[in-house]
Amino acid sequence: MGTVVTIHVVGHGGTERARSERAACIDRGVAWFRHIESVCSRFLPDSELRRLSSRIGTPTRVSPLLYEAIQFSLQVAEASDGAFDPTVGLLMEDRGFTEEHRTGIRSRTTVGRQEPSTDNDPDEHPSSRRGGSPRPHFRDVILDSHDRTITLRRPLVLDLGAVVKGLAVDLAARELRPMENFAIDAGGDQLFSGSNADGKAWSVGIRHPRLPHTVLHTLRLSNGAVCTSGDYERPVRGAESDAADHHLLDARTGTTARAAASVTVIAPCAMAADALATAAFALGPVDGLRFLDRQGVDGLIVTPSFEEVMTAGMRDRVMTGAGTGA
Amino acid sequence: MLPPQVVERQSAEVDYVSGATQSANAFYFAVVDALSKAK
Repeated sequence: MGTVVTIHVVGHGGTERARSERAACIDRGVAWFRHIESVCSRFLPDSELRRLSSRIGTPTRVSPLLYEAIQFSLQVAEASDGAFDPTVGLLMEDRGFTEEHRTGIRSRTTVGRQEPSTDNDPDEHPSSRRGGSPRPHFRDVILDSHDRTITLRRPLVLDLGAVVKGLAVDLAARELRPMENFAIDAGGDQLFSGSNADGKAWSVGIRHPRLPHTVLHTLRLSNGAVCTSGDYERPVRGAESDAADHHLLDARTGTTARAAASVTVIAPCAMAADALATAAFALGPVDGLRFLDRQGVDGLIVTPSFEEVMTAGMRDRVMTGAGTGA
Repeated sequence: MLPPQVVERQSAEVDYVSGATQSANAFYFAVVDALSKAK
């Protein structure tokens, strides 16, 4: 998925047998990333997700993995009142996100593009131009858990980017459980288990959204996942963008979300941490904080003017004063 | 522009840095690398 995956296992290097068990666990963990990309990528033309996107109006039976990923993304869409919406795939393409941002795999779907618009209203949003049809909405994706089918009620492209990387981390973590003390980092989706090489809980610094060299707070984690969504790193390169646009959308308006500069979420699993951080980012500091509280996770939202709002649990977690290693 | 305590808290003494995409960690490991070479 165009992401550098780092797996750090503490110990298990004492004997040849321990080393080979460790290597086997890591191999099985890494294999999940390749598998999930082949199933859920918006960028690979023959992924199961892309094949699903080409079938409009008919129930399509999908793999348990894809079903799970889509179901979870729809739950987050529902919980965030549509601020997070996995049906933004076409909108992302319009904004220039037609390539995997690290591998450079280029891909643009033809879904819903058969009827070029003749309407030149300059105020019209790009996504509303496809034959005058309204923008897709997460309620256009119909799940049937009994038959494990998914029906797309209108042409749309699902973007599971905020879900599948975390899902891969969680599945890799399951393979690594026998190792007890480990950390997985897949392009910012991080999961920690046990303790670090010093026998202490893993320390995780939260990056300042504008100063890459600065850590805002340090957390200690011995079991859990952390993910930060930020407005830095992935600017929009599409023709219709302005310089301040980035990849995080408020799906309710179809425009770049601007009320937050970064959102960090701690959750039991990486899939939830990533998706909830993305949703809270779209919601902004006030609604986003309420949303994280409702979801029962800890989070920190930093605004573009560097105000910080955080859940009560996060406040307890951030270490203050001495002992941060500063 | 920034509260001074934020700047003072700058640190490479963490196991991981949480940031959008992996560039934050790329930075962190570059610092650790530089520090270990300086020893």
